[in-house]
Amino acid sequence: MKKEAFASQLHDGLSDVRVSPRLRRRTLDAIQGKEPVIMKKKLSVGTVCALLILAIAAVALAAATHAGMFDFIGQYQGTYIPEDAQSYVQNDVLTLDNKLVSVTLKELYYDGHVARMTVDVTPKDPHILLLGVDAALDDNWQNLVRLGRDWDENDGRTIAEYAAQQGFTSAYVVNVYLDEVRNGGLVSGVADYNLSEDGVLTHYAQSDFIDIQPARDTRLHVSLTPYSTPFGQNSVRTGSPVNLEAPLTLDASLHTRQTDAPTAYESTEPIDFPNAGVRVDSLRIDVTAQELYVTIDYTVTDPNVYAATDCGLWFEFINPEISDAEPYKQRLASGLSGGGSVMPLDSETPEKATRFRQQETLGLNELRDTYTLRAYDAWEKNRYDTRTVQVQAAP
Amino acid sequence: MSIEELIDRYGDDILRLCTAYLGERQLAEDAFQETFVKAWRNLASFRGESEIKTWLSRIAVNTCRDTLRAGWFRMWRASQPVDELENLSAPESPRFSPVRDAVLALPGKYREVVVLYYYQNMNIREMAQLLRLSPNSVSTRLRRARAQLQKQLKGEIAL
Repeated sequence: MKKEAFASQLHDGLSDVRVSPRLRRRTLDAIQGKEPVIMKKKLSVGTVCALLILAIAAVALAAATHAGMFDFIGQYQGTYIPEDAQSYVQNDVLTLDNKLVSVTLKELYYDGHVARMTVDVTPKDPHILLLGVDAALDDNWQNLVRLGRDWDENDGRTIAEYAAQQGFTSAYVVNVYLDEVRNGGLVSGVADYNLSEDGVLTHYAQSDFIDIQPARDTRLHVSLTPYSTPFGQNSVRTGSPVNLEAPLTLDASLHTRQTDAPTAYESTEPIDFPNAGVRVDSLRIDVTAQELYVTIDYTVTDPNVYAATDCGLWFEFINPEISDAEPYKQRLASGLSGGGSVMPLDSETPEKATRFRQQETLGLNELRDTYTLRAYDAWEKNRYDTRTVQVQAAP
Repeated sequence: MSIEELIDRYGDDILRLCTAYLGERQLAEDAFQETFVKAWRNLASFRGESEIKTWLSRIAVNTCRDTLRAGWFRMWRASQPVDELENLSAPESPRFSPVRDAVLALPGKYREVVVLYYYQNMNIREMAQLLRLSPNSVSTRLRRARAQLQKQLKGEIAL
């Protein structure tokens, strides 16, 4: 396929993207000052001063302790972190060492669905610069050190320029992952990192497994891929990573809340959403120490009505006591894993499927015996039926 | 031409560009809004030295590029396949298009050069100028992006 043909297919693939009346109105409202323009946050001088004090304290703390799991998760909007979340995290699980770095698996959480971990990688030579997994030398260096500091619009230095100024003589890209990443055993994953002032790179990884298992034996891999020196435009990853690895057992029983309360809840009866053309067959809530895992199975009952959603149907969990003037504010808090997905169950393509499964997480504070679900078209942002769903302890 | 006419005439193209660049519909809509606000603010100073669509596209690309570079975007992109920021929650585009899906699945820095080269039909020199990179760096990124696309498309393309 040549350039023109590829470009044509890319154009065709995007041809269903159109400006909705809502987006048009929202844009015109923003121009006329009726709606805030979504741009980078600007802070008042007073706020900056107040934040500066906090930022200094945060940087000092980060330098002393390095970033922790909840520093990374805390960046997500609308996520509920239980007060005792840290108590279900294993600390200082294992260490690895070679001539370049020492590695500590500092924090680990596993509940059968997901594994989260932070790994501190400490260079043995202060002239070694450790880079995060998606960093490149021509990126802005501030991407390395986001936690605990504000973005400085006036600092356009690249990582290469920063490294040269700071006297670094070599750089390695750090990646941390489990066996399942290589073997295709994940639904999805999250990676983030933060470089502390003392040169320690903290890597955060979340792995969402395809299969739920109370325990699994895996391996932790840490790879260090060197950049060629001297730093500059032509510096490239040389492609010969230095690897460290160790066996790692993930055991959900070490991260379980001790309680007599049920750990799973199910809906009591199917619920119709006629204006969306579907029926929710079941809603299941699985309770873990840090969040709620939600599974909704639904069936298309009226294909013509359902077709209007253009496969963009999503069920929102809402708090009906909050005004629907700002519907997104009605949503219940997300769990730590965030995200969500819709999978067809009886066909490989959504267009042909009639049964679907929506999965997401809710905050642990959202456990209740009645939920309010609202059918929502994620494309046009239309909202359809709102129904309450009773749940009871699963047998 | 009024801002309403600009949106009606060029809006779809700009939104598609933002979608291809950012890979997320909600972020694309935010970039779209910001693009037209900037255009409206600068409409009086537009001197017609380029086509108006090219001018709008340039604003959109710069807006998307800023979004892609912002620190918060990386975390949001990695962690939130369904929304959080505002009122979104858009699963990926439902229609089957392997080329589009492969492009949207690329890491940001590679998607950027693919969109500029193939979607915007820019040459390496123009891209280097816009991205503030050397032509060599742009070529390298484009080469790596093509390799990833070929892998994702199982060798069905020879770019």
